[in-house]
Amino acid sequence: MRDDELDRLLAGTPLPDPGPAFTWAVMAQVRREAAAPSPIPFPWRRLALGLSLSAVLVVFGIVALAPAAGFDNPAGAVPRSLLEAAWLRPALLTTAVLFASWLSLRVTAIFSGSRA
Amino acid sequence: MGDEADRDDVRRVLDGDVEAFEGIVRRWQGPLVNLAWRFTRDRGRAEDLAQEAFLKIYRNLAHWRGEGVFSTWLFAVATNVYRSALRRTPLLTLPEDHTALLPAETDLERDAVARDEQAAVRRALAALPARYREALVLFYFHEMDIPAASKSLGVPEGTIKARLSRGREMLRQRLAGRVLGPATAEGR
Repeated sequence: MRDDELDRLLAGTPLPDPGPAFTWAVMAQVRREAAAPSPIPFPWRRLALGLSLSAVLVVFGIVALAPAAGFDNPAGAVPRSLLEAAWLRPALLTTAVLFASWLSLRVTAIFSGSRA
Repeated sequence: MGDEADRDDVRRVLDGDVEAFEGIVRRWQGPLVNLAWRFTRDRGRAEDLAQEAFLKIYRNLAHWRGEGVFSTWLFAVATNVYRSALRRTPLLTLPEDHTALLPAETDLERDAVARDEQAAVRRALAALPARYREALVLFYFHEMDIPAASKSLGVPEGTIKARLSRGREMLRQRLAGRVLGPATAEGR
């Protein structure tokens, strides 16, 4: 088969343009789409904040509760230099208090139906 | 002129005038349905896919950066919609007809031969691997314009050329002895 024959067969004949019914159908879908409320975005920022605070609380739990439970830094989970830092306990305590306050405010807001 | 009208309509849609999208639909519905038809060879499915493409174009209008011609972006979005749809629901490939066509003697016979040729090419094209089929479809849709086909598919021009060459070779092999063009038919 020659190239020009193949070109002729593959080029084919275009379809006639679709009519007004097609335009109407597309515009009906577009109007529906425009009228629909935009999707609520996932709260990535809040999730990141929550995860960070939770991580701090876990560290606080290890530092504060492990000695009280009779474990002195089990399996070397926390570096000794970190455990001995003077700023660590106050910083963790402040973070924990802030997190607990934020959490209780959010829970109150959710149950009272308002958006903070 | 067409591109100015497109840019104007896009600006209006982005400013909140949904009805301005109708101008884009009216200007491009013919080419988009035709492109879908070249992928599917089924008018009903082509119109459904073109509707889906227009909806995607409407949703993503803000992503068009306005750097190139609007139609280049529009064909690229539509091509992606059609390719994804065909991956989800592949074409129904009918068994190939292995009967060689005889030379035509009358107009009616020539019409029948032409229809059979088109059907044989359609089946052979549908049976090609997607990458070669897509390159051939876009090359002929864009009236044999390789840069336009490469932009619609989002691949380099060299890749299009290689796929066209391989695709045409595969088509030739599949159609060998089965299709007779008018020149060949009349020459016998």
